[in-house]
Amino acid sequence: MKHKSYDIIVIGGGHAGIEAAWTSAGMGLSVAILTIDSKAIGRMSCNPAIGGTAKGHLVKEIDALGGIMGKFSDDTGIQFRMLNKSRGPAIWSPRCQNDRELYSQRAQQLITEKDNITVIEDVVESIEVKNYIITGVLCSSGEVYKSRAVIITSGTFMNAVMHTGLTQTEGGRYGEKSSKGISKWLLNHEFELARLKTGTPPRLEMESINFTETEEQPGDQNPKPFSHQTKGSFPKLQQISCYLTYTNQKTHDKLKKGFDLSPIFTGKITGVGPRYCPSIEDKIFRFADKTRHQIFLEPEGLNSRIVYMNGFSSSLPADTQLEAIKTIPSLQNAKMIRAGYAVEYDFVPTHQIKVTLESKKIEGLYFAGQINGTSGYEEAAAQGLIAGINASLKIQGKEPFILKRSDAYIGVLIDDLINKVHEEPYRIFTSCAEYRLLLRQDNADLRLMKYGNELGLIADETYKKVVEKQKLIQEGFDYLKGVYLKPEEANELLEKQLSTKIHQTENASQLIKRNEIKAEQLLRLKYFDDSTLFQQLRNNPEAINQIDIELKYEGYIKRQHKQIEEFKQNEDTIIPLNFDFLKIKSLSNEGKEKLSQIKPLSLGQASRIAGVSPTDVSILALYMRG
Amino acid sequence: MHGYIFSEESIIDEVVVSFFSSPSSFTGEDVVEISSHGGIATYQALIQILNNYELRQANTGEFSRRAVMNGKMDIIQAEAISDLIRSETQFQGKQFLSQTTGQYSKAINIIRSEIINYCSLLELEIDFTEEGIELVNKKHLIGQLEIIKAKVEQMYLSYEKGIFIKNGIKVAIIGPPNSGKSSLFNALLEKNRSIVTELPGTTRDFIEDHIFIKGAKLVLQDTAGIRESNEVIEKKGIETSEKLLKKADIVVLVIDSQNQEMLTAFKKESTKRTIKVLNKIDLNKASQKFDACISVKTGENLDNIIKLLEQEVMRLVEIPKSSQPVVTNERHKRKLLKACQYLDGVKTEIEKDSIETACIELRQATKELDEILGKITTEEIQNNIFENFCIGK
Repeated sequence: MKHKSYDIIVIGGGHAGIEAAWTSAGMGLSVAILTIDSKAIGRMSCNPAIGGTAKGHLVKEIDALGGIMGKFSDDTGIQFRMLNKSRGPAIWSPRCQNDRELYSQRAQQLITEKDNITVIEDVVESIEVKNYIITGVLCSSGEVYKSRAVIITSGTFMNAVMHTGLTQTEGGRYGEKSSKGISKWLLNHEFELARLKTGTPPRLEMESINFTETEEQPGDQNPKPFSHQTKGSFPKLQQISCYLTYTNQKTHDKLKKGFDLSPIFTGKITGVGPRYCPSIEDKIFRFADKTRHQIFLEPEGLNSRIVYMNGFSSSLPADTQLEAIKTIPSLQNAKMIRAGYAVEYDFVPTHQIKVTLESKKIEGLYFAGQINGTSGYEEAAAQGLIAGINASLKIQGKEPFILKRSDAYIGVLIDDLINKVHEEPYRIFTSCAEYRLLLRQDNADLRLMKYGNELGLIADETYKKVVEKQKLIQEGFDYLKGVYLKPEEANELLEKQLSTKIHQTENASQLIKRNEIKAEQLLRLKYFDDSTLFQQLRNNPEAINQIDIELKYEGYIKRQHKQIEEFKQNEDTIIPLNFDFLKIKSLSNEGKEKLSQIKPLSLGQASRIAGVSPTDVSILALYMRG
Repeated sequence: MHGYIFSEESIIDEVVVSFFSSPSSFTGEDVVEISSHGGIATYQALIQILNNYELRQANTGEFSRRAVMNGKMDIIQAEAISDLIRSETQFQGKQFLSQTTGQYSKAINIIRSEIINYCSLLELEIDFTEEGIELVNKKHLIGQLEIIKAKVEQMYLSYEKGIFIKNGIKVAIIGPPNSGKSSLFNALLEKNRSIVTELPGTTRDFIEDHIFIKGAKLVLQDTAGIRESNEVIEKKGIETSEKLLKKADIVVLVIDSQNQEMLTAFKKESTKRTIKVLNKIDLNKASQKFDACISVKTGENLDNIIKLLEQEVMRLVEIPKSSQPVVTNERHKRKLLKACQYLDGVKTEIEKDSIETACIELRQATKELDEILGKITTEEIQNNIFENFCIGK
């Protein structure tokens, strides 16, 4: 019997699966996505939004490396906001609300249209392996699909159980079955599995909400897209508002009555949930002195009747949820389309995978997304991208692609994932990044497109523009350092911007360092009219913006570059593959155990492994550096 | 184990050999210790014999280094031990003991966790901007920062005390010529003689020696008499005295009871803690203007000077009970100073509303403390956030 054969099989069509398939296909490999339901591809299981603090950075990085999430988000966004806009640009983070239906439709359309990708509806029963090397998968239909790599992106579906009150239903998402075959297969092959928990809030009917009792939250006036591929007028769709409302003491009292029936408080759920995204009952329990909690009412789409109750995630009994909701003035008459629920699921603790996301045990087997114990669409997508790229590189016989913590949030994410012990689902934060001032959302293209281009995922033409932009930024920056403006040349602008006037010539770059002066305003001064460089700059607002940011943060940027130099010393101290840590007697027992388990590739990585003490690191340094 | 060590046929020494088995020894390895009667000749003969067995002498600090490598102690403890070996006084011993027993690390750890808590407050504003959290106001933030900074500063400034402990307290005996400085110097040495290794002032134009008072080391300096002079050699001596005066921690001003007007001439030097001594009261009567009126010649009231010096020692080195341990290590002092500078940077940035750069300063301040202690991980900041704030929209 002849089997269908692909280079790479991706199990699951969620946010991780999509990026894994997209990048592999883009790198010229043949890919099959195996999914229980092809209509579930690109489904947003939880909130209908992409981005947010640090997550927005991930989306932009994925885009710069040739991923596709940013494009879907731009095409189906119904509200765009730049978070932290009142703060410095280093911590701005883009976020958008999406039309839930349109998002998955768009994803399905682009995936089906993409060359090299085949979508197959089938359930994976087991993974075929020979001599610890992947050969393909066996499906419940009886079909065997051959492949050289398998990327598992099964999300929360492995052995998933949903809880509402004390009622338990099997399944990883409302109305969808859980998948047992993969869990069983992994256990049979001596993979270690553990349980995690996540939750989702109730969905309300739009017409039943009294919006006059809420605070309207409109989007930004002139939003910027996530993706470099998004061209033409933007946003593409009509824009809507979200609405802010609050719980009160009565809400809390009603919820407390249901505590006896909470699957968490009664111990039915053993998996640990995320502390950064607690259920409403958890918030009330842990922060008893807070008299109110905010709830964002987020419309799920342009033509949708459904409103998502962001901030009210719950696994209490459905009637308790509704009773509590009705104590909120704007929601007195609320109709609940679906109650909130908690999901408990299996994940693969990450000491079992490498930085390429390939399993340590079986060659060609990769894990990406929630199966690795992360939370969030963006985190999943970033891993899908890295798994897809590395699976493809391996098949092509090339060196793996590893981003450092100093390169990208994606590098931070993967490094954290591999080296730290996780007791709750992992979410990215800007505070995870040591070099936050350099890893900005506005320079993801400058940082990463080079790699995207090398991988064949970013067109030469696109990359060329980024190189030109980079050159322009550098030239403009250097030139401004040598420009001295006379008082009569600059004071008119300074006065207008309520900035202190100058009395003798002043360096142009120094003036841009002032908070109230933008590079863009200064470059419009007559002084620069004759410079062709500045004509070019004036036509490239993104380049001017970079000059502005680089100058305003100059001292700190220099400092961070210096820190990176120090950081790289340890990163570049390579630990040989299959190094025997047990032979160093002086290492602590815990250190030996952790190092042998994780097998760090560098001294730097070793220093970040939980359980490896500073003393262990200094001993290791003595060995590695001789 | 007791026995004799032979070289060929002859006995070199009667020795005690102790064996410390791994991992309970100082270095964590198997260690053999040979205690001999000493004496340079015996010692050299012993070394010669041991050299025959392909053994070598330890490098400086090698035992401590091995102890660190074998996880027997951390870097701070090792540093403290090296200081302990060099310490001469009870004060020093006490201080270093507090470092080896971890009190010192504990004090730095407390400051460090305060900085991390503080950093969480700012990180919270950045990462949870959508959470409707009541943000801390600027004035409050700066107030809290000042409190932390004061603690680092206090620790940093304790180095001065630490240095008294380590290097001794400098006591300059000054005064006009022939007021009895050298007699007093000798009398004090005589009364408190411990290890006297007199260093005559042939090269330095002054004489220095040390005594111990209340367990602290006092370095006494007998100086050339200060007065206006045109003679070249004497002028040079006087210059030296003036330099010593500037570097001294305590000044003992000795005035001749027959020439008391000289007191006014030295008044301008009152910035230093000065003990004013009227000498030769056997020749003239005492005066209220002085802290002590003595006669070195008869030994009258000499004990008063000792008492005054005791008071000064206590003021300089004794630390209030509840206070932090003292910094005696130059490397630690530099780190603490840098941490202080970074905390100043935090203030500037917060005043500019630039919390993202304030966070960089805070992390660098923490890193300085970490370099005294251990290491920082970002999840500590997050753990803090999760424990203390209600998050989750």
